[in-house]
Amino acid sequence: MSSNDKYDRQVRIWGPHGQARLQNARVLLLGCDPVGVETLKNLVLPGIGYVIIVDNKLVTEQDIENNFFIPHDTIGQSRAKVVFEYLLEMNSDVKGEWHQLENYNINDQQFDLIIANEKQFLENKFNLIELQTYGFIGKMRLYSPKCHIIESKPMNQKYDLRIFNPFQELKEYFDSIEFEGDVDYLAHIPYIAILYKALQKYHQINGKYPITFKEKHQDFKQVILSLCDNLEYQYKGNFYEAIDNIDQAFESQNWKNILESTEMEQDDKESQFYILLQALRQFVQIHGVPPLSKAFPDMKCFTQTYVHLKNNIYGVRIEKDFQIFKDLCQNKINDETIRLFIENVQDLKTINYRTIQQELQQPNQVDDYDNDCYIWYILLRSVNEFYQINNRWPNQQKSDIQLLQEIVVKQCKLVNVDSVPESHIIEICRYEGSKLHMIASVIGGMASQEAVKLITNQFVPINNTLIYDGLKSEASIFEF
Amino acid sequence: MNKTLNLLYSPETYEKIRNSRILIIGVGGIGCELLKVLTNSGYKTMTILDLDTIEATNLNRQFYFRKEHVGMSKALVGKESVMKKHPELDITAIHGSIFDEKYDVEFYTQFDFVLCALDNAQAREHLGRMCLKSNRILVDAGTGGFSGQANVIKRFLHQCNNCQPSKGAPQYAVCTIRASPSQPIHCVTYAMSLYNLLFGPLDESNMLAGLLDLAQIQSCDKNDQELLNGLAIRTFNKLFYDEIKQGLKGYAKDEEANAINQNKYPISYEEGLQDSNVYTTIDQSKMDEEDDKIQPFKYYVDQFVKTFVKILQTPGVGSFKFDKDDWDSVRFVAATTNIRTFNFTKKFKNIDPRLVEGDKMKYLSVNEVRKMGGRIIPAIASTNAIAAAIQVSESKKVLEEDWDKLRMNWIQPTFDKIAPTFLPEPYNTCNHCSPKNVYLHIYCNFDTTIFGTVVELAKSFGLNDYDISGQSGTVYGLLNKQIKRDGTNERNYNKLLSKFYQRESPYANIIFSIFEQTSGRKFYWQIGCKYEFILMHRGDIKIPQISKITKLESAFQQLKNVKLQKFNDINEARMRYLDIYSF
Repeated sequence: MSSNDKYDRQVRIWGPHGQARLQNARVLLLGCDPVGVETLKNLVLPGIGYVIIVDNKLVTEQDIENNFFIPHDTIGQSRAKVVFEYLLEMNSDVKGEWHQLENYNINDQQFDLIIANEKQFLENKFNLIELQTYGFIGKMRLYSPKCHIIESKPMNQKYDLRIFNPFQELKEYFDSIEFEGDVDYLAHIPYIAILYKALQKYHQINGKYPITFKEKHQDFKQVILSLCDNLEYQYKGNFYEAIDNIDQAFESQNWKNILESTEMEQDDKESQFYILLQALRQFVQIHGVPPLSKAFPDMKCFTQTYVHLKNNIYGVRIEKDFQIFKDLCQNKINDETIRLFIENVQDLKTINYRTIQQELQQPNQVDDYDNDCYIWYILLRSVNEFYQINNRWPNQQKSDIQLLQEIVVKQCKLVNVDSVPESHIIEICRYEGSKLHMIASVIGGMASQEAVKLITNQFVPINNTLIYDGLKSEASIFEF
Repeated sequence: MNKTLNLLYSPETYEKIRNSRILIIGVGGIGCELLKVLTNSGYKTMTILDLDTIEATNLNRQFYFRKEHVGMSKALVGKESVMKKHPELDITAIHGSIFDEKYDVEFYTQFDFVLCALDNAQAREHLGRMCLKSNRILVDAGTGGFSGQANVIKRFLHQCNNCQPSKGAPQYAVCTIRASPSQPIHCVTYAMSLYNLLFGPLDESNMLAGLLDLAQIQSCDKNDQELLNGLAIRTFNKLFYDEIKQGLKGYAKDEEANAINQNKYPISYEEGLQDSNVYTTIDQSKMDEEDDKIQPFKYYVDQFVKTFVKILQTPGVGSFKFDKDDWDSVRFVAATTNIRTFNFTKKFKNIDPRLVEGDKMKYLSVNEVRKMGGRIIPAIASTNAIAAAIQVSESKKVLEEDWDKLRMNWIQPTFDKIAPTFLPEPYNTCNHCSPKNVYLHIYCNFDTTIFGTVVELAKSFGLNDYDISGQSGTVYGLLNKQIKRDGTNERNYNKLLSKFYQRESPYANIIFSIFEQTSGRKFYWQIGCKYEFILMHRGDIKIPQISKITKLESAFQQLKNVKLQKFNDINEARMRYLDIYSF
């Protein structure tokens, strides 16, 4: 089948298991505004499983102007149908259905993601992305009922090398290394052994391990350098490598946060993440540290040394820890998931999203903002309220500007902001609810990135609102 | 009339957008998105240029293309698909390489600005240089995974994309690896994937998945030396002979298949063992290590089979992954790399014309292969969509000439997702975009104008010790003592400009670069800069003209009158006047 080939590039980002999640996902699109359709386009191309498009409008001239997936000869037809046909034409792997409906009944259905882009959608059972574009302004709001990320894929990979707290075999290895001998030998001591030795020496001198930043990055550094005083510069490479990786010498505490911060609801007790977290808790109680993960950095040393360290010392330990951890999971989880969990144990993440109802009633206050995005957020809330009252968008007429200003004052009070510049109010009245394709494309791109994160449960999605200012091409993320 | 745009843009901006002529280089991932946003943002007249043909791996993000288009020209299919939705547009599609000298300075000057949607660093740098020479604004973009960037490069105002060598891990296009490698790294990547495919765990994401019948290799008796040897040779022939010959079937048209066929050289194991040539121009005599040398071709053929057998006999086979510290895997990959290089170039001289300026497909030593084991940064639709839309948003600012609002737009996987920063200023030391450089467009009749005109022009600029180089090297030297002595200067002085061609297509632009090179001596114009005279052929012109000639002449006069004593004054005065020269 050619589809493997087609998805080659993206599989490098989210892996075959991420691709499988994508291909099994059910996505509901409520409304066919350009921004929602653009988002869905970026999900149909990489091969999302099943799409349901719901919209009750008919194609107008404006749709043709700003919506790429509505061709010029479809005026008067159902928007849902037209968009559905032209979107799915791009990728024959994607299946779906369309409905020309005002209200779609989502009861008794399962969705991996709902994209709402015409009006607010308040259901909070499923992953939700709410989108709006208004003139040059765009908004994206994320919500997920439970967001536990195993593969958070941080930009800088962290290694758990146990230099600070070596297990028995590793300690024996470290202790067996002499810092005397011919230069060729000294120049090839792996940096992890250097860090260990330096830690011991530091402890001997000071009676404690380095704690503060200064102790770690100045005093400790001096200790490392003192280990290679007698070496000529060209042989000191590994000692400088040790200095570059100084942070790895200290115990990593990341995994502690997740154990402390994650509160699980009763009905989540059967979820994989919960079981894994319980197992981690028990493991840490017994061993004091989480299971050893597989990541092992490259380092300059003799090839035999490297292979010995990687396979015989760390490798054996990884396998041992895995077996213990597996037993703690009581056969409820498959091996692959357990391995994945252990590999990422330093980078686990959970996000508790505020619901959209909560935000509507009382958004979180933002104290410092360095661009206009916060102002646009307040104004977007205001125009939406205007629409609810008048059933149309405010225009450039004086009466509308005045009406809007009154609403803005009210909204400002809610978020404890003194006022917003009048120029911005006039600017937003100029837009009159129009939707620019360019802005829809930017927001659609970002929304589909977040959608992929939510569906594949990889990477860390934003929390929770992004405002894009197309005038300055700036974006800001707020937790409202 | 588009109501939305009319409402949001000022009438002047809208008019400018309607009347602009733009050039889009690359109809790949970003290019498709660009076309979509541009056509929905009021742009009417555009030219699209792409060298590539559509491949299956493109379909996950390049939405103008369908399965049935595989093998066809991206530019032509792109145009067709856009016109289907917007029949009123005026689109010119060019299936060609931007390295082609047809696309010279004059070509670029037809357009108001240039949008770059390339994924290839060399082509991008070339485009950057062409935009500097033709004084076109370049709206650039690039993506990798969830990250990307979009920015404008205006000559002498912003740093060009030649200023800094590309940082971090280099990026390679995956699509080309299976079908048409054009750089050494493509072959290395192919070889690493092959290693993982043959000896690693089952991995659907391997880009060579499905290439070979693995069951046969995995299930064979590992103790039967002869059987393994036979298997290795069969695999060899399948990969480097059958596969290369048969790979052409997928192409839509016969002439295209033939064109590609000419650059492919299938080779069987038996033939390979007879080829004892060393394909390199590098002087290898100074190298001590065997692994730094390029070996005779048959060495690699032999290595492939030997390491293949050896690895299969290693315990644990089936779980291996390419590892630079495992010498068997390095040697296997090195052998595969070089045999594949042979498949696609045979001799290092037969290079792909699009690579003239950059890296050539060359044979690699074992250690070079080991070093190049880099990673590939993949592309997805969503990031391309963001980058392209921001490009269009920046284009609007370009048309409004709103230079202060231009930004370097970073697309990030986390944090604020889009972070604009100020565009960096050009380096004074940059060979290409330093504001000290002078680019002059000169119109003349190549059939009647002698090269001496260029020399006189340089003189009138007050230049003293300089060399003039054309495309093929130094043609006139006051600094280069050898050229000065052997009379080349005199010979070239009276030569007609048309004689500087050794090519078939007549009258593409000729570009002469003039470097003032003496250092430490206080000449008037000794500031270490580059002049570039870009000569364009005009059959009906008798006297050479510099565009905006009056302005220049008066500036010359002023320059001559400036009696300068101090270096700083020279610099400042020159800057002021050069500002007037450059247009």
